[in-house]
Amino acid sequence: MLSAPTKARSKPKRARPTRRQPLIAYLLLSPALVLYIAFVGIPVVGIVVISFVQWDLISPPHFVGFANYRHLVHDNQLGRTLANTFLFDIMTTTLHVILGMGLALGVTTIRSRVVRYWARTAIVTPFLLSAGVVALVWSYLLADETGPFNYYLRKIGLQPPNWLASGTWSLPGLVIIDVWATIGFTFIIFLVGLQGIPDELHEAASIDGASASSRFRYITLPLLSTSTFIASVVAFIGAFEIFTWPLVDTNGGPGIATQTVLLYIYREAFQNYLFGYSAVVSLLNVVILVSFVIVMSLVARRWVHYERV
Amino acid sequence: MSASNLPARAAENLRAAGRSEDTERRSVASTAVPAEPHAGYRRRFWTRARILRTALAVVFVVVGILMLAPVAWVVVQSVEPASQQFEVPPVWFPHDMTLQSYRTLFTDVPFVMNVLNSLLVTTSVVVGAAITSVLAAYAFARLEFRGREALFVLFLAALTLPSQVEAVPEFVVVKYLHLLNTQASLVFPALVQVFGIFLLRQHFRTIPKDLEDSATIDGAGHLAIIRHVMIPLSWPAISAVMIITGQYIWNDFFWPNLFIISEGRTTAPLALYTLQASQGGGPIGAVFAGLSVLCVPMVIGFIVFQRRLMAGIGYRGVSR
Repeated sequence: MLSAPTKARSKPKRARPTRRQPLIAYLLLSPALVLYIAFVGIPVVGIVVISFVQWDLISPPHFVGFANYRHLVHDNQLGRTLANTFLFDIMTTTLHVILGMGLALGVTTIRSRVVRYWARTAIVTPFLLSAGVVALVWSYLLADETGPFNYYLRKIGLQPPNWLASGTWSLPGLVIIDVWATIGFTFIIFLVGLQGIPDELHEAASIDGASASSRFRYITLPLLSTSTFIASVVAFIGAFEIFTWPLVDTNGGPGIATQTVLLYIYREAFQNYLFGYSAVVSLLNVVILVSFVIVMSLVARRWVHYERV
Repeated sequence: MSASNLPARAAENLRAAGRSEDTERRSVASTAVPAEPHAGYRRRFWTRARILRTALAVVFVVVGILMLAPVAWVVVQSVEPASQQFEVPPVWFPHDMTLQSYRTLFTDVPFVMNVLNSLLVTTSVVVGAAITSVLAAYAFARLEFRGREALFVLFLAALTLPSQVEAVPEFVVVKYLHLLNTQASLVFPALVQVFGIFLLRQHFRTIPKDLEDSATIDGAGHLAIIRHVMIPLSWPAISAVMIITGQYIWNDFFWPNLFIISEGRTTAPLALYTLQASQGGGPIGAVFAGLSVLCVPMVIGFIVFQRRLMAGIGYRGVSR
């Protein structure tokens, strides 16, 4: 009878369990709720409060009004930092969608179970490694003289740059690391999407004489649009939060050529002890991210095909 | 008999479409019909579709090798003597194998301690977060109370916020709780996993209420229902939450980097970073050994838990 608590309210006999529910509900919720308040709620409010003070965590904070916000305009590192982050983000998101979709299409087309299992395992494995481990591994792999990456590029006749030490190529170098490490995730999203497309559609189309390319254009691509949307949003947010590769592999350098927003927030707070200003940059980061997600959802409304099968 | 040309053509089309294995079985069966011995089965073995498919398989074998090559290279470096590390051209099958790097790693630096720290933190979070998620999800899915929808939306809002953006205020909170530089600083903030609450709530809602009703009639309270009805019936979802949380915590780099200073208290990935950064290329073999120690179990674990992990990764992605 618990199943209809709303109806039960009118009958006094059944009202009892319903009335007793709030207490037990709050009890069950309390562990999650207390932790949520302490480690999500308070920080969210705290970040706004901290943005109005000058504070190095040692001496007591003092209120400075909008001074931290005004500093945004005069900050000569912020522009480059944002540009780095956007550039990195656009490169990785594009590669993620193209490669993730390509790999997923390929893997689902393969007939041999063994090859399919091998490819799927190998593509997803790097995603399971610690970001720190990945960053360390690639710091050796991308080394100019001793790293195997450049050795094989030279072997096939290319003249690779000194990835992590070059002002121009360090950001693309980080893109290589990021795509290797996280493509598995995008791949799974597309794999799940592809499994949702009924085989009958392809069979019917090919009996009607549709070529492989037109089947891709008119069946696969529209039915994958939801996956494409999810994959691009997740890749975009993930790339915007990039931190470990620039910290470990380039330390934001050379100069600030690979300094990303999160690394900048971290440095301002924990290296320069400008907690107030760091909070302002954090808020800016949230505003940018949220507005991008909103824009992407609006754009997506036009081309995402929500299937109703 | 002569009409068998038509199904053969259809089978060819289906084969060209290159879809499911089921299709393949059907097409092979229809090609191998013994009624038409002159059909030229042998001659048509290398059809265009088959060549393309074989090429595709070869490409993906190579893609797999390329994806795993970095890990393999690190493992090879870890078993080579120091003099042969970083050899160009890269060596893939070492001649002289030694465990010297592993000896350095386990004796000269507190790496065992770091791995134990990682294990401690990960297990506490996995168990703790599963408990908080199950309890909260049950309340959201099954109980009526004021503010339920509002609270749920509040929880969900946390999913849209990149947690690292809160680094500064969270550092302050952790500092005032006197948790800085303790393993507890890595455990407590991670004990609330909103995606877990969300996922389990969705799952609990699919469980028929009749089961709980009969349990209630038998005198079971909410905790008994959770223990004997909800948990057993949604164990796949709960274990997916646990595996995904565990993978995230085990691999995390950001928070240990922020909260832990002492070498002996930090987690394994951080310890390797400190080792590489501080010693200036000293015991690089030890770094390789440590990287191998962290990589190889993940690869093996993935092969074992592949199904569940893939499902969980999908959930986490969608719930973001």
